Amino acid sequence: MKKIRGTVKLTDLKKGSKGIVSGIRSDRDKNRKLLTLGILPGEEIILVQKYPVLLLKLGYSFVAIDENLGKNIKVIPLNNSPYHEKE
Amino acid sequence: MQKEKTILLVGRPNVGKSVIFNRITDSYAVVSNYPGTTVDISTGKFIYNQKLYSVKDTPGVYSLTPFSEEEKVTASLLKEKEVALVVQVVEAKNLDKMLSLTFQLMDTGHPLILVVNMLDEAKEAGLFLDLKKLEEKLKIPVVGTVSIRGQGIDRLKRIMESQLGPKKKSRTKHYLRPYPGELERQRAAREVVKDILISPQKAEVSFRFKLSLLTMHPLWGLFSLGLILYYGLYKFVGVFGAGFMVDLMDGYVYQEMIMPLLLRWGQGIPFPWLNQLLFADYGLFNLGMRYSMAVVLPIVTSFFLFFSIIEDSGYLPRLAMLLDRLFKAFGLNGRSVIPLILGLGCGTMAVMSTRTLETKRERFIAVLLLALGIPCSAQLGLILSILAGQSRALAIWGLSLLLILSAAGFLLNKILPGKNPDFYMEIPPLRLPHLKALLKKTSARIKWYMKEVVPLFLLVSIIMWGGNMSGVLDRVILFLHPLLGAMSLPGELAPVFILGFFRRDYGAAGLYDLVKAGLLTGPQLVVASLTLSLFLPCIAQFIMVVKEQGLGRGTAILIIVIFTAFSAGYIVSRILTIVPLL
Repeated sequence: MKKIRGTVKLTDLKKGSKGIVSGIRSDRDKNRKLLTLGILPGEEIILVQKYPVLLLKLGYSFVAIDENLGKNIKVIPLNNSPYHEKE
Repeated sequence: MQKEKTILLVGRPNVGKSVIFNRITDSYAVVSNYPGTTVDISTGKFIYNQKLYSVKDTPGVYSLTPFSEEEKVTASLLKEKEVALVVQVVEAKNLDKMLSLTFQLMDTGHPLILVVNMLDEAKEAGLFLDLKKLEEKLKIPVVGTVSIRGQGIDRLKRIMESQLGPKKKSRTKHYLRPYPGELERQRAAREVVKDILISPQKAEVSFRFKLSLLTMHPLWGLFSLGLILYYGLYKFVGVFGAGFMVDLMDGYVYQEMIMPLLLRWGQGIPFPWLNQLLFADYGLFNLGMRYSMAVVLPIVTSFFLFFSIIEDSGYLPRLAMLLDRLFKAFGLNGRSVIPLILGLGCGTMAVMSTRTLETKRERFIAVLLLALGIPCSAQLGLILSILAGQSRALAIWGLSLLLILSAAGFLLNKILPGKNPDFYMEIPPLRLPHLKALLKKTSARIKWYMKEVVPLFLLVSIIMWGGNMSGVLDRVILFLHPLLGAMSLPGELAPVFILGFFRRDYGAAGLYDLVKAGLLTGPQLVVASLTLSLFLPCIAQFIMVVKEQGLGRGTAILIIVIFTAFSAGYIVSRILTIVPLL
């Protein structure tokens, strides 16, 4: 798979930062699990928490996935604006 | 004769299908704020134009591609000829993620209604949708609802009627073109939603939202868990349920009011055997009725209420994500939190719920841990009230139990082949539980308890009576004496252990009586509580284990549990004689 410049693993994203899912490199079964959660290429995500599991905000909903699933997700980081602008 | 036509309710997990089902039919389906509560299909009635339709509440699905059990069930239901109408329920806030299923449902060719539910939550999040426009775009009827408050339900019913009527039947056609893949469908869904959005506003961060984030935070989340356990489990179930309510029901109502009445009535019985069966120490009235109705019932009732609250508030998925890492060390993942917490209520119910776990390996580990060391609410309540006020004894009991459970999980993870399945879960918003739904759900669970568990209590009474009359009981008690002696426990505990074989909570109830009589010292109390907590699951749970795991693995679990219970009791009693902790 050709590497797109500027993409990183979801697990390498900083806590509180935004990104756009650019690709998922995984087997069919894992792919399906992510798809059912709404994690698919083009989707904008916010990485709310990295511990104890990865917590993502997708639109108006939250989903939790473990690192094992998260490391297969490639994202394009948008900016490192903190999650709460007020805080 | 023609088979009756069906109306199918379809949608993602946790979007309120069951609430809508309850609103449009006269039946009751269990509602909760936890994805995947509808395991079986509930069926209700919908009458229109003197014709009876059966409404089916299907398990939540993400798509019609039959991957999971639920998806297979729903996909096959949709293939049936009798389907007159499909009602898809979606959550307004996440419409963009749910329309993909709508496209798939359109492809089935059944008349379809789209219900956009939870409009209030969308509004709170600053999201306004133009449902009229959505209707025009999709060319199917769209109804907006807030089902929990009944908003939009009348309109839904009217539209259902018009769709069922002979004239205005609008068979759905492919939307623009058939979508070959999930990815394409999801893209098209996003386009549609972008089009019908009415100026998205920046919502202010509500208190609920902040609280929601707090419960997911690694540190504050654990802190809130501590609060929930302390106030919910210890204060409410333990102190109020097992303490106050049991004292009231058993000490006052049963022993002071009901028992004297029964005794007076029993004086007229001319047969000594019947008198024995009813009034002996293990008799139906003294043991079966009393323990099941006056001692255990108040405890499980308060647990079921507590569980319904944390279930409906949406807390359980948060707990699942917080504990995922810990559980992975035991060969489980966050999803197992549900069976294990439910095990604190009723082990039998919990073993049944292990079905929802993904792999065989996980199911085996969860069932074994449930059998070994997760005390059910009745047992937990009684043990807490027995050890109440003796904080050291309580601490030793709790720590030993946790240590043994962790060691067992850790070893199982090392020994068993295979690896952990991935953890992935949608986290629903925190919602204030509705009183009516809470009461309905709690009473449904109590009914289950009365139907499945109370007869077992009565059966145990009869078996104990038979054993007593035939002398078998005495022999078993004699056999247990040396075992108990090794743990420095008095012989009076033997019947308690035998009771424990039938039901663990039953055993604990027996222990409760011995403590009230002042027959046990501090260390003996700890050893007895610990051994009983670890001891055989109740017979109902064992039957369920065999049903879920098969006879071979069921027996293996049984042997491991008995062996661990007695060895742990022995070791702790030795330690306590050497180190005077109490």
